[in-house]
This record gives sequence, structure tokens and C-alpha cells, in this order.
Amino acid sequence: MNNFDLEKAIKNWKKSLFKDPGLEESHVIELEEGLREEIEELTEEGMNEEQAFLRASKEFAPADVLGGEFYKVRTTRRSGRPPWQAPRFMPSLLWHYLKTSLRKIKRQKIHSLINVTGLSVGMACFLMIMTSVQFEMSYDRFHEKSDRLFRIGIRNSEPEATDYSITTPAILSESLINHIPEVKNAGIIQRSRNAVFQTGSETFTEDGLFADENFLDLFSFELLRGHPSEALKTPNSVVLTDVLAQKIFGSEDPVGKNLRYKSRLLDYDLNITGIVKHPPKNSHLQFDYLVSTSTMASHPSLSEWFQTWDIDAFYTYAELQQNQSKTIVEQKAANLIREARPQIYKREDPVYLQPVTDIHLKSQVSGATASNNRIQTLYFFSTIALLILMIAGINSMNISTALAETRAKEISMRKVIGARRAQLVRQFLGESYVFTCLAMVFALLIFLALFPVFSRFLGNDLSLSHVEKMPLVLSILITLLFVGAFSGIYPSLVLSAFQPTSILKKQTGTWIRGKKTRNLLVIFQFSAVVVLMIGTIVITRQLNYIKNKNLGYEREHVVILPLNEDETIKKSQVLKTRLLEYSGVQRATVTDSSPLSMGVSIGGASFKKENGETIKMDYYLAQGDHDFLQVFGMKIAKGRDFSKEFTADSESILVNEAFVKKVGWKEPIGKQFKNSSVIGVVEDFHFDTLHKRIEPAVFTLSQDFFGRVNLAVRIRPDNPKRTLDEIRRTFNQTSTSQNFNYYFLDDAFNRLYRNEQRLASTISYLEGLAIILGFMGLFGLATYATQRRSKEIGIRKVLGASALSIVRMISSEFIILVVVSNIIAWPVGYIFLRRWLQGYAYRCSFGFEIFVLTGLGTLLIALLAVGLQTIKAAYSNPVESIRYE
Amino acid sequence: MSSKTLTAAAYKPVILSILQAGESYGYQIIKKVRNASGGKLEWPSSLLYPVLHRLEKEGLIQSQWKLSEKGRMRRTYRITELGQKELSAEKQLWFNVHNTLIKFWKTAEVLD
Repeated sequence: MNNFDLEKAIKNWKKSLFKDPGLEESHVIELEEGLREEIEELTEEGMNEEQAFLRASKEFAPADVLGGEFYKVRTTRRSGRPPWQAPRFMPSLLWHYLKTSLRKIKRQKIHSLINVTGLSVGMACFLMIMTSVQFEMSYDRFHEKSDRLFRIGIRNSEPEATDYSITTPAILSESLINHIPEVKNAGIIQRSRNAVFQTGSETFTEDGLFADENFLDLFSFELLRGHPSEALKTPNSVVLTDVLAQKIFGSEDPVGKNLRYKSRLLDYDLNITGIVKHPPKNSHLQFDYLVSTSTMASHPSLSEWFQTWDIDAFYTYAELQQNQSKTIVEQKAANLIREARPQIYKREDPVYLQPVTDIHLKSQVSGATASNNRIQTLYFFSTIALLILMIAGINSMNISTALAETRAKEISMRKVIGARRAQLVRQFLGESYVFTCLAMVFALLIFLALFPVFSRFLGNDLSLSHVEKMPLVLSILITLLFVGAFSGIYPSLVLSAFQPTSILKKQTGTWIRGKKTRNLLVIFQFSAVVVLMIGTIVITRQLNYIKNKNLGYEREHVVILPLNEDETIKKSQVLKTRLLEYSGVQRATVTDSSPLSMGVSIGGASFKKENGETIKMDYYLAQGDHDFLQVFGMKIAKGRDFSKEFTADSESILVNEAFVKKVGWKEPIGKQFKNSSVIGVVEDFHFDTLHKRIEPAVFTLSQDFFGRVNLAVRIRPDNPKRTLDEIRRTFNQTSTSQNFNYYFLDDAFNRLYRNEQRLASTISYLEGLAIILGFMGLFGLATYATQRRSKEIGIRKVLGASALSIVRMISSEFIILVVVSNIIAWPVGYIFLRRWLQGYAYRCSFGFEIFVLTGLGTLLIALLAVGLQTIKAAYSNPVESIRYE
Repeated sequence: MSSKTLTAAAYKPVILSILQAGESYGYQIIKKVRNASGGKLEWPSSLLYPVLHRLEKEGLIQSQWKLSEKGRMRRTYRITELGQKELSAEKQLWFNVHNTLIKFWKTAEVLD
């Protein structure tokens, strides 16, 4: 039998109608009467009660539609929409939350301001850093074969060392293809710097690459004209980028035309065989033109480079059949080169295949300190970005829980009326998202306005057009989601847990549970501020240390003129003599070296020590004339400098102290090295950044230059501008083909530390930001604390407390938090910066005073934030605050 | 003008006409409309109730709570004087529309 209960069904039906606020009791009674009549009629026709009920109730529109219609009759609103119903485009709860949170913003102006500014600045900062990071990570991923492309590195022969050199013999590439089946293709590259292109009377100085015919197949640079496998095959071929072609030829078609090319070693008429699109910014290979390596091979004095294993002059790139075979190829390539040069590659694993996508961020190339291991900086920035975002999020979190008291009644009312906890959680989360979205709008405005500036700051010089849109949109959404949840979840859990009975009975003490967590959050926040502060101080200090450290040479007042053309180089000594006639010029030297870049690095020479042991010597060779040491201000430790009085000096050498130490000579003067006798020992000087230890170096009196050639001039400090003008005039008179071009040694030195410089300034700005955010948060909390305790303060004052004791009472709470965060942050900061400093062979001191300094600094900030509020409260008239009870 | 709007516009004269014949109440009105139109005028019947309230607010009809024969409370409606005036105006209007349309449709048939 059917146990359908009509009365119960009608009761439930009525209940569903009552849910809509538009339906009043009289409406429902009227509707019920209609329903009942219809049911009665239907049952008389022979339907059973259940069917009748279902059919009749189906005739009725849903409660909200009915309620809306009834409301429409009553209201004078134009739209006729009941206020409790959302506009049609929105889910109902969302509308409600939006309204309450906008009301909240209106009522709590200061706190909302702190909240929104903090979040928007934090998020803008985070987005900018993340966009930069994203770009840095995108390097070389545009190559179709990027997952199978590797650059060949030869590991440092010291078993412990992790660095490797990337110069390899030219024939390595061919042997890889011929002897290792896992290698599908390989190619070689060499850089060509400051080459001069000549067409008609115009000259263009450009940077490019020598590349072989496999280059365009290995890498996905878009060839606009020409044939990928033919364009770089024959000698004297050149492929220009569209940008350079435009620059030289304008709108003319350059393909097939000839172009005169002059560099240090080559002077050719090149035939333009193709046009390639300018490499994208996120390519580690940057070039304006590509000259075929066969051009170089056809040169009589360079052809040897292509047949020997003994000259490491090219970068080799290999494409594997599949990227899993990396280790096998490394093994086989190691066998290959050990077979060719058994005495050099003694290490177990001399060959390293570096994925092409790692080159930009994870390189460990020997000597290339400035471009190595960029990923570390990236980690640095990402961490800071996250910290700032969290500080802003915590501000928002703390303020909402602290303000809970002002909303206790609202929450109780909601609960009494029947809100479930989940609904309240949703409401407060919703509020948090309203704030976050509002802040995101401002954050995006900041992003749009400041991104290019910020990016120049971070060092990748991006504009908005470089930014890929999809990842940006994605990171905006993720940030929004994360920040909203991060700053909303905790407050919503706290607020929704209130017990309405105790709140309505004014048992306030029972629910200030949020306080403990709030304190923890403040501690976390300030710990982050302290760590950043320690970082700023240490990095700045290390930079100053570098700047002021005695490097073993004098870098001020040295002008360096790079000489690019044979003609100018031939005249270099003439030029030198003429320059010395000026009073402003002290000394000059023609050399291939400067303290910042030593001429030639020679790897793998074997040397027999006095005790019979054979060691592998890596050393630097500097060639120059008699004035070399004096121009750069280096000192002789033992023996003597080169002198014109001794004609045999052209067969002699000087070595540095590191060299002596390495070969283990007790009495170096008169010793032989490579058939030259040592006449003096040069005091050690740094010829790379302070990241590196000083390497062995040899100095000779040779003018038979191989690599670059510089004329280095030491000028008198007074009136450098006039001296420079004189140098320029003399240069232009002496050399006709080359343009005058110079730099100061100390500028070049500063450029070496550009990364650190940038890191330091970026971190200090971000630290400033973090401090401001932390300050704002504390200020907000202090405002709240004084408001909450205003009656207590009033009563205390009436009973005789002094203003000072009241300030002390309220401040002490916060001061303790700051002290605790300092204690937590010190070891963390110490460990992190210790590790950072480890990257330098020479480090600044890292003492206790730094911690004292940060401690005092943060205390000062906290006192300021808290003091402003408490002093105001302490000096207010107690009558004002206790009048109302 | 969609037919839905037309049906909605017809509510007022229909209800007034029903009440012209005498006092009535919600469900009875619904039934009368259903019978008279043979189910051809499809209204979501429950929405008649808010319409009754609107007409009352406009002063065209008047309501009263009465006890039904089953002993339940029932809200009955009666037409007012203002309602009667409104009804004759409405009547006139609908006739005018009807006459005009018929003329067109008849000539249209002749012309075909």
C-alpha cells in the first residue's frame, strides 16, 4: 500500500514557499487553498492523492518566482527586483557577500586601505618578478629540437671542480657525427666580435658568429631567404639578420650581393647567401650575421685549426637521436678525446653534455663568472617575491581576525537565524576574494605602469611586448586564487567558529582565540623582514668590500683603446710614442691583456715539477711591452721588471706568485719554463671577479698578438676630458680606417659586478617595500589594540596611571613579538648569507654587529608603528572613552 | 509583440469579466479561464494570484477573507466600481482591436 501523507506533503510544500521572503503568510494561505481545491477535484475524478498532489503542485511556479511576483505588486522599485534576490547575472550568495564586504570597506577605511594597498603592491611586485623569472626560464626553448640539443663542455681536470670549459677542437664535431651513432648532427660556432662590414664608403661594426652548414639545421632560427643547408656551406658566405640587412641595404634585396668583411684575422669579400630573422631575446646565441666556418678554414694560417685536436677554439653543439642517450654519448665522446689527446684528459668523465635549455641559467663555464649560475639570482628573487606576497597576505589576515570583534554581533545574528558554518566560511572567504580582486585591479595598473622599469632593474630589460600573454594571465589567476585563499581561510575559520550564545551574553574573553595565531603571524612577518634586512646589509657590504679591496693593481685613470684592425695594430707603437708627447699621458702599453681579461688562457700544458711529479698546468698568458706592469700599477715581488737595457728580455718571462706556488719553486728567479727563463715575480693581482681565486699567469715581451689587442694608457688625474680629446685626435690622425673607441678600466671593472650591483639595489628596494608592508600591518594591529582597550586605558588613567606607563603597557606586547622574530631570523639569515658569500673567494667580514643593527632597526620600526597609536591613546582624555558606560 | 505578452495583457479583462459575473476566488477563476478557453490560453496558473493582488492594489477589485464550505480560509474577490469602468474601457479597446483585425483579414481573404 501507498503510505503517502497528503497533509505532510502540503506542509512541506508550504515550508518551501516560506523560504522566499517575498511570500507572506496570507499569500501562502491563499495559495494553499487553491492547491487543496485542485487536489480535491482531481481525486474526485479518480486520481489517487499522491498523483493529484504532484499534478497540482506542478502547476505552481517555484517559490522565488512567485515571491518575486508578489513583491513586485508591493514595491515601488523600478526594477521590481526584491533586494534579497541577486541581479539575474549573479549567483545569489555572491551578490550578498559583495554587498557586505563593500559595506565593510566603507566602515573600516584605514584597515581597508592598509589591506588593499598592501595586497596590491605585494601582488604587483610578485607578478613582475614572476614574469621576469618566467622569461628567464624560457631561454632557448623555442628551438624545435631543444630537448635533444646539447653543448659540449670539457670538465675542469681537478677532480673536485664542477666547472667546465666550452671551447673544443673544431674536429670534435665531425668525429662525434662519424663515430657515435647516437649523435644525429653536430656543429661548431665561434664568436666574431666588432667585425667591420664595408659597402661603398659606409662601415658597420657588428657582432656575429662563425657557424658551419649544420647550424641552421640544429637551431630553429628562422631563415627568411636562402637554403638552410647551403647558405653556410661554401667559403666566403655570409647570412645577415633581417635587422642588419635593413640597416646596410635599406629596402634593396641583399641576397647575392657582396660585402667586405674585416676582422682581426680575416679580410674578405663575402657573398650574402641568405637572410635570417634576428634571434629572439630569449636565445643564448645572439648575432647580427653568420659567416661560414669554411671561410675561416680556407685561410692559410687558420686552416690548421680545423685539423688538430690541440687547439680549442670552437663551441660544439650536438643533436642526439634521443635525449636519453646523453650518458652514453658522454662516455663515448670521452673515449674519443682521450684517444686523441691521452695526456690531457685524465679525468674519468671529461665530457659534459649541457642541455641547451640549461645554458642561460645553469652554466658553470670556467672563467665566465658574470654569466654563470644565473639561476641563483632567480631563486633569490622568487623567494623575495613570495615573502613579500606573504607579508601582505598576513597583513590582510591579521586585520580581518583582529576586526572580528566588530563583527561578532553580525556573525551571531547570522548563526541564530540559521547560517551554517560552511556558509559563514564561504562568506568570509568571499570577502577576502573581494579584497583580493580589488587589490589585483590596482596591482595590474602598477604592473602595466612599472614593468619595463622594474625589468631593467632586474637586468633582463623586457617590455610588455616580450611577455607571453598566456603564462601571465595564468599567473594572475593563480596569484588571485592563492592570495584570496591564503588571506581568507584562517580568518574565516576563526570567525565562523564563534559561539553566538557567549557573544550575545558579552562573554568576550572566550573567543579572542585568534590572538595567538595573530602573534605567530606577526613573528613570521617580521622574521622575513629581518632576513631581508640582513641580506641587504651583507650584500651591500660585500660590494663595498670589492670596491675598496686592494686588487693588486690600480684601476683608476686607465683608458683602454681596443685596436681592431691590422693596419692600426701595425701602427700601435707609433701611436704610443705620439701619445706620450702629451703632458696628460703618463704611460702607455700595447698589450693583449688587461687585469680584467688576461690575453690567452692556456689549458692542459704538462709541467714536470722539481720533485719529478708531472702536473697539468692551466695558466694565463699576457703579452705586452716594457710598460705593461707600470701602466696597470702592478708590483714586482722578486727579481726585476722587463727592461730595455737587457736585450735578452725578449726571451725571458715574468710569472706571478700563484704560478710560483703552483709549480712549487723555492727560488723562482732563473728557473726555466717552456725554454724561457724567469727574471721576475709579479705580486698577485686579481684578474677576474673576486668569485675566483688568482690563477697562475705568465708575462712575455711579445708583440706577436693572436687575440685582441689593446692600447692601454695611464693618464694624469687632472682634466681627463682634455687628455681624452688629445688621445682621440692623435688616434684619428694615425689610424685612418678604425673608429676611435675607448673605455675606462674602472668602468669595465664595475660592469663585472653589475649582477651583484643590481642584486643589491633590487634587494634593498624590495626590503624597503617589505618594511613598509610590515609597518603597515603593525600599525593596523596597534590601532585596533588601542581602540579595543580604550576604556581600559581611560580607567587606568582615572586611577592614576601615567601616559608613559600606558604606552609601555601596549607597546611591550608588540616589542616582544619583534624581539622574538629577530631571534628566529638571525640564524636563518646567517645560514643563507653564509652560503651566498661562499660564492666569493674573498669575502667581507660577517660579524655580530649586523645582527645588532637589524635588531635595532626593526625595533625602531615597530616602536614607530605602535607608538603613533598608543601615544595618541595615552594622552587622550579618559572622559571621552568611558563616558558611555 | 509576442503572443506571451498578449496573453499577459489579457489577464486583466478576463479577470474583471469573471468577477463582473459575481464574487469569486483564486482557484475558481483559474478553472473558469481554463474551461472558457478550452485550455487554449495557457497561463502558468499560480501566477494568477500575484495578478489579483496587483488589481486589488490598483483598486479595480476588492478582497475579503471568507470561510469556505470545507471550513478553510479563502480569499474572495469582488469587482469595484472603478473596476467596472476599467472593464468597459478594456472591452472597448479589445473590440476595436478585434474589429480592425477582422476587417483586414476578411479583405485579405477576398483579395486572395
